[in-house]
Amino acid sequence: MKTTRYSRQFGPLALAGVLAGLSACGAATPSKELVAARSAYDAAAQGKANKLVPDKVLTAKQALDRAESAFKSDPGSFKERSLAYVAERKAEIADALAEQAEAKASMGHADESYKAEQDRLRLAAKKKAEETKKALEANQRHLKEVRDKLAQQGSKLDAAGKALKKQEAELAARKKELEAQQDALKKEHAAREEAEKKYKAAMASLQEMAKVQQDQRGMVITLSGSVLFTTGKADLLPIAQEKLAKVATVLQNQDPNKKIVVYGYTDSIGTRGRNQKLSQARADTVRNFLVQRGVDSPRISAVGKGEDDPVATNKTAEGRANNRRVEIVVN
Amino acid sequence: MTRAWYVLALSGAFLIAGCGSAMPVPATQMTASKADIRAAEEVGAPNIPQAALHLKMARDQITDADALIKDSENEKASLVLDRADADAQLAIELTHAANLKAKAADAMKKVQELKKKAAEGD
Repeated sequence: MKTTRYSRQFGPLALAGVLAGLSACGAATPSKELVAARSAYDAAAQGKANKLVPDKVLTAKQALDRAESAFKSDPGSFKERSLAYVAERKAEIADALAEQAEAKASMGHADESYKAEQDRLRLAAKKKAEETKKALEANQRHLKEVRDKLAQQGSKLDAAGKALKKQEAELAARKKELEAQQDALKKEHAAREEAEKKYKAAMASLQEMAKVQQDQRGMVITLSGSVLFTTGKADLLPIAQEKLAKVATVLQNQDPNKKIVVYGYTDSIGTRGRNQKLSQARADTVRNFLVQRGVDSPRISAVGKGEDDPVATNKTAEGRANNRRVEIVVN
Repeated sequence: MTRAWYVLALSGAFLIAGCGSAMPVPATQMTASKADIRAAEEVGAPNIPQAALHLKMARDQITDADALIKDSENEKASLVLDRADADAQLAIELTHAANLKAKAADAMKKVQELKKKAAEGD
Protein backbone atom coordinates (compact mmCIF):
# COMPACT_ATOMS: atom_id res chain seq x y z
CA MET A 1 0.00 0.00 0.00
CA LYS A 2 1.25 3.48 -0.99
CA THR A 3 1.51 6.10 1.71
CA THR A 4 -0.05 9.48 0.67
CA ARG A 5 1.34 12.92 1.28
CA TYR A 6 -1.41 13.52 3.75
CA SER A 7 -0.77 10.48 5.90
CA ARG A 8 2.90 11.46 5.93
CA GLN A 9 2.08 15.03 6.73
CA PHE A 10 -0.74 14.57 9.17
CA GLY A 11 0.23 11.21 10.63
CA PRO A 12 2.04 12.45 13.74
CA LEU A 13 -0.60 15.12 14.39
CA ALA A 14 -3.34 12.52 14.08
CA LEU A 15 -1.53 10.50 16.57
CA ALA A 16 -1.30 13.51 18.91
CA GLY A 17 -5.05 14.05 18.42
CA VAL A 18 -5.78 10.49 19.30
CA LEU A 19 -3.59 10.82 22.35
CA ALA A 20 -5.35 14.04 23.32
CA GLY A 21 -8.68 12.29 22.89
CA LEU A 22 -7.51 9.49 25.06
CA SER A 23 -6.36 11.90 27.80
CA ALA A 24 -9.99 13.15 27.63
CA CYS A 25 -9.58 16.32 29.61
CA GLY A 26 -6.65 17.82 27.65
CA ALA A 27 -7.59 21.02 25.63
CA ALA A 28 -7.57 20.44 21.87
CA THR A 29 -5.42 22.69 19.65
CA PRO A 30 -7.03 23.85 16.35
CA SER A 31 -5.15 22.98 13.21
CA LYS A 32 -3.28 25.70 11.33
CA GLU A 33 -5.89 25.32 8.53
CA LEU A 34 -8.68 26.06 11.01
CA VAL A 35 -6.81 29.06 12.36
CA ALA A 36 -6.33 30.32 8.83
CA ALA A 37 -10.00 29.64 8.03
CA ARG A 38 -11.22 31.54 11.08
CA SER A 39 -9.11 34.56 10.29
CA ALA A 40 -10.15 34.48 6.62
CA TYR A 41 -13.78 34.29 7.65
CA ASP A 42 -13.39 37.15 10.15
CA ALA A 43 -11.82 39.26 7.45
CA ALA A 44 -14.70 38.54 5.08
CA ALA A 45 -17.37 39.06 7.72
CA GLN A 46 -15.90 42.37 8.87
CA GLY A 47 -14.96 43.59 5.42
CA LYS A 48 -16.87 44.72 2.36
CA ALA A 49 -17.96 41.13 1.52
CA ASN A 50 -20.51 41.24 4.33
CA LYS A 51 -22.17 44.21 2.71
CA LEU A 52 -21.79 43.25 -0.93
CA VAL A 53 -22.24 39.45 -0.93
CA PRO A 54 -23.77 38.45 2.42
CA ASP A 55 -25.02 35.12 1.04
CA LYS A 56 -21.46 34.11 0.12
CA VAL A 57 -20.26 35.11 3.57
CA LEU A 58 -23.02 32.90 4.93
CA THR A 59 -21.80 30.02 2.75
CA ALA A 60 -18.29 30.58 4.16
CA LYS A 61 -19.72 30.60 7.66
CA GLN A 62 -21.47 27.29 7.06
CA ALA A 63 -18.24 25.79 5.75
CA LEU A 64 -16.40 27.10 8.79
CA ASP A 65 -19.11 25.65 11.06
CA ARG A 66 -18.58 22.24 9.50
CA ALA A 67 -14.84 22.53 10.12
CA GLU A 68 -15.47 23.64 13.69
CA SER A 69 -17.77 20.68 14.33
CA ALA A 70 -15.17 18.34 12.88
CA PHE A 71 -12.64 19.96 15.18
CA LYS A 72 -14.93 19.37 18.16
CA SER A 73 -15.67 15.78 17.36
CA ASP A 74 -12.30 14.85 16.02
CA PRO A 75 -9.66 17.56 16.63
CA GLY A 76 -6.66 17.46 14.40
CA SER A 77 -8.34 15.05 12.03
CA PHE A 78 -7.80 15.06 8.28
CA LYS A 79 -11.45 15.93 7.98
CA GLU A 80 -11.10 18.99 10.21
CA ARG A 81 -8.14 20.21 8.21
CA SER A 82 -9.74 19.57 4.88
CA LEU A 83 -13.01 21.23 5.87
CA ALA A 84 -11.05 24.17 7.34
CA TYR A 85 -9.07 24.44 4.07
CA VAL A 86 -12.33 24.53 2.12
CA ALA A 87 -13.80 27.07 4.60
CA GLU A 88 -10.78 29.34 4.09
CA ARG A 89 -11.26 29.14 0.30
CA LYS A 90 -14.99 29.91 0.69
CA ALA A 91 -14.13 33.04 2.68
CA GLU A 92 -11.62 33.98 -0.01
CA ILE A 93 -14.24 33.35 -2.70
CA ALA A 94 -16.59 35.69 -0.83
CA ASP A 95 -13.83 38.33 -0.87
CA ALA A 96 -13.23 37.78 -4.58
CA LEU A 97 -16.96 38.10 -5.28
CA ALA A 98 -17.08 41.26 -3.17
CA GLU A 99 -14.26 42.68 -5.28
CA GLN A 100 -16.20 41.71 -8.41
CA ALA A 101 -19.28 43.48 -7.08
CA GLU A 102 -17.18 46.50 -6.23
CA ALA A 103 -15.60 46.50 -9.67
CA LYS A 104 -19.04 46.17 -11.27
CA ALA A 105 -20.33 49.06 -9.17
CA SER A 106 -17.36 51.19 -10.09
CA MET A 107 -17.89 50.25 -13.74
CA GLY A 108 -21.50 51.31 -13.37
CA HIS A 109 -20.40 54.61 -11.87
CA ALA A 110 -17.87 55.05 -14.64
CA ASP A 111 -20.53 54.36 -17.26
CA GLU A 112 -22.85 56.83 -15.61
CA SER A 113 -20.12 59.42 -15.41
CA TYR A 114 -19.26 58.73 -19.02
CA LYS A 115 -22.86 59.15 -20.08
CA ALA A 116 -23.28 62.24 -17.92
CA GLU A 117 -20.12 63.73 -19.37
CA GLN A 118 -21.29 62.89 -22.87
CA ASP A 119 -24.65 64.49 -22.14
CA ARG A 120 -22.91 67.52 -20.74
CA LEU A 121 -20.70 67.74 -23.81
CA ARG A 122 -23.65 67.27 -26.13
CA LEU A 123 -25.57 69.95 -24.25
CA ALA A 124 -22.59 72.29 -24.31
CA ALA A 125 -22.14 71.67 -28.02
CA LYS A 126 -25.84 72.30 -28.59
CA LYS A 127 -25.71 75.47 -26.52
CA LYS A 128 -22.66 76.65 -28.37
CA ALA A 129 -24.34 75.90 -31.69
CA GLU A 130 -27.39 77.86 -30.56
CA GLU A 131 -25.22 80.76 -29.44
CA THR A 132 -23.38 80.68 -32.72
CA LYS A 133 -26.68 80.61 -34.56
CA LYS A 134 -27.97 83.55 -32.51
CA ALA A 135 -24.80 85.50 -33.11
CA LEU A 136 -25.09 84.73 -36.80
CA GLU A 137 -28.68 85.87 -36.86
CA ALA A 138 -27.77 89.06 -35.01
CA ASN A 139 -25.04 89.65 -37.54
CA GLN A 140 -27.42 89.13 -40.40
CA ARG A 141 -29.93 91.48 -38.81
CA HIS A 142 -27.23 94.10 -38.39
CA LEU A 143 -26.13 93.57 -41.96
CA LYS A 144 -29.68 94.02 -43.17
CA GLU A 145 -30.03 97.22 -41.15
CA VAL A 146 -26.83 98.56 -42.62
CA ARG A 147 -27.96 97.52 -46.09
CA ASP A 148 -31.37 99.18 -45.54
CA LYS A 149 -29.70 102.31 -44.26
CA LEU A 150 -27.38 102.32 -47.22
CA ALA A 151 -30.33 101.85 -49.55
CA GLN A 152 -32.13 104.73 -47.81
CA GLN A 153 -29.10 106.93 -48.07
CA GLY A 154 -28.75 105.86 -51.67
CA SER A 155 -32.32 106.90 -52.48
CA LYS A 156 -31.82 110.14 -50.54
CA LEU A 157 -28.69 110.71 -52.53
CA ASP A 158 -30.61 109.98 -55.72
CA ALA A 159 -33.31 112.43 -54.68
CA ALA A 160 -30.67 115.01 -53.79
CA GLY A 161 -28.99 114.37 -57.14
CA LYS A 162 -32.30 114.88 -58.94
CA ALA A 163 -33.01 118.04 -56.95
CA LEU A 164 -29.53 119.26 -57.79
CA LYS A 165 -30.06 118.53 -61.47
CA LYS A 166 -33.38 120.33 -61.34
CA GLN A 167 -31.74 123.31 -59.65
CA GLU A 168 -28.96 123.22 -62.18
CA ALA A 169 -31.52 123.14 -64.98
CA GLU A 170 -33.40 126.01 -63.34
CA LEU A 171 -30.15 127.88 -62.92
CA ALA A 172 -29.25 127.24 -66.53
CA ALA A 173 -32.72 128.41 -67.60
CA ARG A 174 -32.38 131.50 -65.42
CA LYS A 175 -28.92 132.11 -66.81
CA LYS A 176 -30.27 131.82 -70.32
CA GLU A 177 -33.10 134.14 -69.39
CA LEU A 178 -30.61 136.56 -67.88
CA GLU A 179 -28.45 136.34 -70.96
CA ALA A 180 -31.52 136.96 -73.08
CA GLN A 181 -32.39 139.92 -70.85
CA GLN A 182 -28.85 141.16 -71.09
CA ASP A 183 -28.97 140.70 -74.85
CA ALA A 184 -32.27 142.55 -74.94
CA LEU A 185 -30.77 145.19 -72.67
CA LYS A 186 -27.74 145.44 -74.89
CA LYS A 187 -29.93 145.68 -77.92
CA GLU A 188 -32.06 148.25 -76.17
CA HIS A 189 -28.96 150.06 -75.08
CA ALA A 190 -27.61 149.86 -78.59
CA ALA A 191 -30.91 151.03 -79.96
CA ARG A 192 -30.94 153.86 -77.44
CA GLU A 193 -27.42 154.75 -78.30
CA GLU A 194 -28.35 154.56 -81.92
CA ALA A 195 -31.38 156.77 -81.26
CA GLU A 196 -29.29 159.16 -79.19
CA LYS A 197 -26.69 159.22 -81.90
CA LYS A 198 -29.36 159.98 -84.45
CA TYR A 199 -30.82 162.60 -82.14
CA LYS A 200 -27.44 164.14 -81.56
CA ALA A 201 -26.70 164.04 -85.24
CA ALA A 202 -30.10 165.54 -85.97
CA MET A 203 -29.59 168.12 -83.25
CA ALA A 204 -26.14 168.91 -84.60
CA SER A 205 -27.37 169.36 -88.14
CA LEU A 206 -30.33 171.25 -86.78
CA GLN A 207 -28.02 173.58 -84.95
CA GLU A 208 -26.20 174.16 -88.21
CA MET A 209 -29.34 175.25 -90.01
CA ALA A 210 -31.36 176.68 -87.13
CA LYS A 211 -30.89 178.49 -83.91
CA VAL A 212 -31.57 176.34 -80.95
CA GLN A 213 -31.72 178.03 -77.57
CA GLN A 214 -33.28 177.77 -74.13
CA ASP A 215 -35.34 180.64 -72.71
CA GLN A 216 -38.18 181.00 -70.25
CA ARG A 217 -40.55 179.35 -72.75
CA GLY A 218 -38.43 176.16 -72.96
CA MET A 219 -36.41 174.90 -75.89
CA VAL A 220 -36.84 177.21 -78.85
CA ILE A 221 -35.89 176.18 -82.38
CA THR A 222 -35.83 179.14 -84.71
CA LEU A 223 -35.95 178.56 -88.45
CA SER A 224 -35.34 181.32 -90.91
CA GLY A 225 -38.45 182.05 -93.04
CA SER A 226 -36.44 182.55 -96.21
CA VAL A 227 -35.12 179.05 -95.96
CA LEU A 228 -38.60 177.57 -95.63
CA PHE A 229 -40.87 179.56 -97.88
CA THR A 230 -40.81 181.69 -101.00
CA THR A 231 -41.79 185.29 -100.36
CA GLY A 232 -45.52 185.78 -99.68
CA LYS A 233 -46.36 182.05 -99.84
CA ALA A 234 -47.01 179.25 -97.31
CA ASP A 235 -45.64 176.32 -99.43
CA LEU A 236 -42.53 174.61 -98.21
CA LEU A 237 -39.40 174.80 -100.36
CA PRO A 238 -37.89 171.38 -101.19
CA ILE A 239 -34.82 172.11 -99.05
CA ALA A 240 -37.13 173.07 -96.17
CA GLN A 241 -38.61 169.62 -96.16
CA GLU A 242 -35.18 168.14 -95.67
CA LYS A 243 -34.52 170.46 -92.75
CA LEU A 244 -37.91 169.95 -91.15
CA ALA A 245 -37.42 166.18 -91.35
CA LYS A 246 -34.42 166.65 -89.07
CA VAL A 247 -36.52 168.82 -86.77
CA ALA A 248 -39.13 166.06 -86.66
CA THR A 249 -36.46 163.56 -85.61
CA VAL A 250 -35.34 165.83 -82.79
CA LEU A 251 -38.91 166.42 -81.66
CA GLN A 252 -39.67 162.72 -81.65
CA ASN A 253 -36.82 162.21 -79.21
CA GLN A 254 -38.16 164.80 -76.78
CA ASP A 255 -40.21 163.96 -73.72
CA PRO A 256 -43.60 162.87 -75.12
CA ASN A 257 -45.40 164.81 -72.32
CA LYS A 258 -44.03 168.08 -73.53
CA LYS A 259 -46.25 170.24 -75.73
CA ILE A 260 -44.98 171.61 -78.98
CA VAL A 261 -46.17 174.93 -80.34
CA VAL A 262 -45.23 176.12 -83.83
CA TYR A 263 -45.18 179.95 -84.02
CA GLY A 264 -45.24 181.74 -87.38
CA TYR A 265 -43.73 185.32 -87.70
CA THR A 266 -43.51 187.87 -90.52
CA ASP A 267 -41.77 191.23 -91.01
CA SER A 268 -43.69 194.44 -90.98
CA ILE A 269 -43.93 194.72 -94.77
CA GLY A 270 -47.55 194.61 -95.97
CA THR A 271 -50.80 194.85 -94.01
CA ARG A 272 -51.09 193.60 -90.53
CA GLY A 273 -54.06 191.37 -91.36
CA ARG A 274 -52.31 189.77 -94.33
CA ASN A 275 -49.20 189.17 -92.27
CA GLN A 276 -51.30 187.56 -89.58
CA LYS A 277 -52.88 185.15 -92.10
CA LEU A 278 -49.61 184.33 -93.77
CA SER A 279 -47.92 183.55 -90.44
CA GLN A 280 -50.79 181.30 -89.41
CA ALA A 281 -50.71 179.46 -92.78
CA ARG A 282 -46.98 178.97 -92.51
CA ALA A 283 -47.21 177.67 -88.90
CA ASP A 284 -49.96 175.25 -90.02
CA THR A 285 -47.83 174.01 -92.93
CA VAL A 286 -44.90 173.30 -90.64
CA ARG A 287 -47.14 171.64 -88.08
CA ASN A 288 -48.74 169.40 -90.74
CA PHE A 289 -45.40 168.41 -92.10
CA LEU A 290 -44.15 167.49 -88.63
CA VAL A 291 -47.28 165.41 -87.99
CA GLN A 292 -46.70 163.77 -91.33
CA ARG A 293 -43.20 162.93 -90.18
CA GLY A 294 -44.34 161.12 -87.08
CA VAL A 295 -44.72 163.81 -84.41
CA ASP A 296 -47.76 163.07 -82.26
CA SER A 297 -50.57 165.29 -83.53
CA PRO A 298 -52.35 166.18 -80.22
CA ARG A 299 -49.01 167.44 -78.77
CA ILE A 300 -48.49 169.97 -81.48
CA SER A 301 -50.34 173.13 -82.22
CA ALA A 302 -49.75 176.04 -84.61
CA VAL A 303 -50.04 179.77 -83.83
CA GLY A 304 -49.72 182.68 -86.32
CA LYS A 305 -48.12 185.72 -84.69
CA GLY A 306 -47.94 188.05 -87.74
CA GLU A 307 -45.46 190.85 -87.33
CA ASP A 308 -45.51 190.69 -83.48
CA ASP A 309 -42.53 190.05 -81.29
CA PRO A 310 -39.83 191.03 -83.79
CA VAL A 311 -36.34 189.81 -82.87
CA ALA A 312 -34.67 192.57 -84.96
CA THR A 313 -35.40 195.94 -86.52
CA ASN A 314 -37.76 195.98 -89.55
CA LYS A 315 -35.88 199.00 -90.91
CA THR A 316 -33.01 197.03 -92.42
CA ALA A 317 -33.19 194.12 -94.86
CA GLU A 318 -31.13 191.98 -92.52
CA GLY A 319 -33.40 192.82 -89.58
CA ARG A 320 -36.51 191.99 -91.63
CA ALA A 321 -34.96 188.70 -92.74
CA ASN A 322 -34.40 187.79 -89.08
CA ASN A 323 -37.97 188.65 -88.20
CA ARG A 324 -39.33 186.40 -91.00
CA ARG A 325 -39.11 183.13 -89.03
CA VAL A 326 -40.77 180.08 -87.58
CA GLU A 327 -40.20 179.23 -83.90
CA ILE A 328 -40.88 175.78 -82.54
CA VAL A 329 -41.22 175.86 -78.73
CA VAL A 330 -41.03 172.66 -76.77
CA ASN A 331 -42.21 172.88 -73.16
CA MET B 1 -9.73 4.23 -19.62
CA THR B 2 -9.16 6.11 -16.39
CA ARG B 3 -12.74 5.53 -15.40
CA ALA B 4 -12.47 1.81 -16.08
CA TRP B 5 -9.34 1.86 -14.04
CA TYR B 6 -11.22 3.56 -11.15
CA VAL B 7 -13.92 0.91 -11.28
CA LEU B 8 -11.27 -1.81 -11.30
CA ALA B 9 -9.40 -0.18 -8.40
CA LEU B 10 -12.72 0.27 -6.53
CA SER B 11 -13.59 -3.43 -6.93
CA GLY B 12 -10.09 -4.37 -5.89
CA ALA B 13 -10.27 -2.17 -2.83
CA PHE B 14 -13.55 -3.72 -1.80
CA LEU B 15 -12.07 -7.13 -2.23
CA ILE B 16 -8.94 -6.29 -0.24
CA ALA B 17 -10.77 -4.39 2.51
CA GLY B 18 -13.34 -7.10 2.59
CA CYS B 19 -16.16 -4.59 2.57
CA GLY B 20 -14.33 -2.64 5.35
CA SER B 21 -15.08 0.82 3.79
CA ALA B 22 -18.61 2.06 3.41
CA MET B 23 -17.51 5.09 1.23
CA PRO B 24 -17.72 4.56 -2.53
CA VAL B 25 -15.24 6.06 -4.99
CA PRO B 26 -16.11 9.86 -5.33
CA ALA B 27 -16.39 9.64 -9.11
CA THR B 28 -19.01 12.42 -9.43
CA GLN B 29 -16.94 14.78 -7.28
CA MET B 30 -13.91 13.97 -9.41
CA THR B 31 -15.83 14.82 -12.57
CA ALA B 32 -17.19 18.02 -11.02
CA SER B 33 -13.77 19.17 -9.79
CA LYS B 34 -12.18 18.51 -13.15
CA ALA B 35 -14.98 20.46 -14.83
CA ASP B 36 -14.28 23.37 -12.47
CA ILE B 37 -10.61 23.25 -13.33
CA ARG B 38 -11.42 23.36 -17.04
CA ALA B 39 -13.77 26.25 -16.43
CA ALA B 40 -11.02 28.08 -14.55
CA GLU B 41 -8.66 27.47 -17.45
CA GLU B 42 -11.25 28.74 -19.93
CA VAL B 43 -11.94 32.01 -18.09
CA GLY B 44 -8.21 32.69 -18.17
CA ALA B 45 -7.01 31.80 -14.67
CA PRO B 46 -3.51 30.88 -15.97
CA ASN B 47 -3.02 34.59 -16.89
CA ILE B 48 -3.79 35.91 -13.40
CA PRO B 49 -0.92 35.02 -10.99
CA GLN B 50 -3.08 34.55 -7.86
CA ALA B 51 -5.67 32.52 -9.81
CA ALA B 52 -2.94 30.48 -11.49
CA LEU B 53 -1.60 29.56 -8.05
CA HIS B 54 -4.96 28.18 -6.93
CA LEU B 55 -5.45 26.45 -10.26
CA LYS B 56 -2.16 24.62 -9.68
CA MET B 57 -3.25 23.69 -6.16
CA ALA B 58 -6.52 22.26 -7.55
CA ARG B 59 -4.62 20.20 -10.10
CA ASP B 60 -2.21 18.88 -7.43
CA GLN B 61 -5.19 17.92 -5.30
CA ILE B 62 -6.71 16.01 -8.21
CA THR B 63 -3.43 14.04 -8.41
CA ASP B 64 -3.54 13.43 -4.66
CA ALA B 65 -7.18 12.33 -4.84
CA ASP B 66 -6.30 9.90 -7.59
CA ALA B 67 -3.56 8.41 -5.39
CA LEU B 68 -5.93 8.18 -2.40
CA ILE B 69 -8.55 6.43 -4.53
CA LYS B 70 -5.87 4.00 -5.59
CA ASP B 71 -5.21 3.35 -1.93
CA SER B 72 -8.93 2.96 -1.39
CA GLU B 73 -8.88 6.04 0.82
CA ASN B 74 -12.16 7.19 -0.66
CA GLU B 75 -13.23 9.35 2.24
CA LYS B 76 -9.96 11.25 2.23
CA ALA B 77 -10.12 11.46 -1.57
CA SER B 78 -13.58 13.03 -1.28
CA LEU B 79 -12.29 15.63 1.17
CA VAL B 80 -9.31 16.36 -1.10
CA LEU B 81 -11.64 16.72 -4.09
CA ASP B 82 -13.63 19.25 -2.02
CA ARG B 83 -10.42 21.19 -1.63
CA ALA B 84 -9.68 20.92 -5.36
CA ASP B 85 -13.18 22.19 -6.10
CA ALA B 86 -12.80 25.11 -3.67
CA ASP B 87 -9.44 26.07 -5.22
CA ALA B 88 -10.81 25.84 -8.78
CA GLN B 89 -13.80 27.98 -7.83
CA LEU B 90 -11.57 30.49 -6.11
CA ALA B 91 -9.38 30.58 -9.24
CA ILE B 92 -12.47 31.31 -11.33
CA GLU B 93 -13.69 34.10 -9.03
CA LEU B 94 -10.24 35.64 -8.71
CA THR B 95 -10.00 35.68 -12.50
CA HIS B 96 -13.40 37.32 -12.82
CA ALA B 97 -12.47 39.85 -10.14
CA ALA B 98 -9.20 40.71 -11.86
CA ASN B 99 -10.89 41.04 -15.26
CA LEU B 100 -13.67 43.21 -13.84
CA LYS B 101 -11.15 45.39 -12.00
CA ALA B 102 -9.26 45.87 -15.25
CA LYS B 103 -12.49 46.73 -17.04
CA ALA B 104 -13.50 49.17 -14.29
CA ALA B 105 -10.09 50.80 -14.45
CA ASP B 106 -10.49 51.04 -18.22
CA ALA B 107 -13.92 52.62 -17.88
CA MET B 108 -12.56 55.13 -15.36
CA LYS B 109 -9.73 55.92 -17.71
CA LYS B 110 -12.18 56.52 -20.53
CA VAL B 111 -14.15 58.92 -18.33
CA GLN B 112 -10.96 60.77 -17.46
CA GLU B 113 -9.99 60.95 -21.10
CA LEU B 114 -13.43 62.28 -22.06
CA LYS B 115 -13.24 64.87 -19.30
CA LYS B 116 -9.77 65.87 -20.42
CA LYS B 117 -10.93 66.09 -24.01
CA ALA B 118 -13.90 68.12 -22.94
CA ALA B 119 -11.65 70.45 -20.94
CA GLU B 120 -9.35 70.87 -23.96
CA GLY B 121 -12.31 71.32 -26.27
CA ASP B 122 -13.91 74.06 -24.16
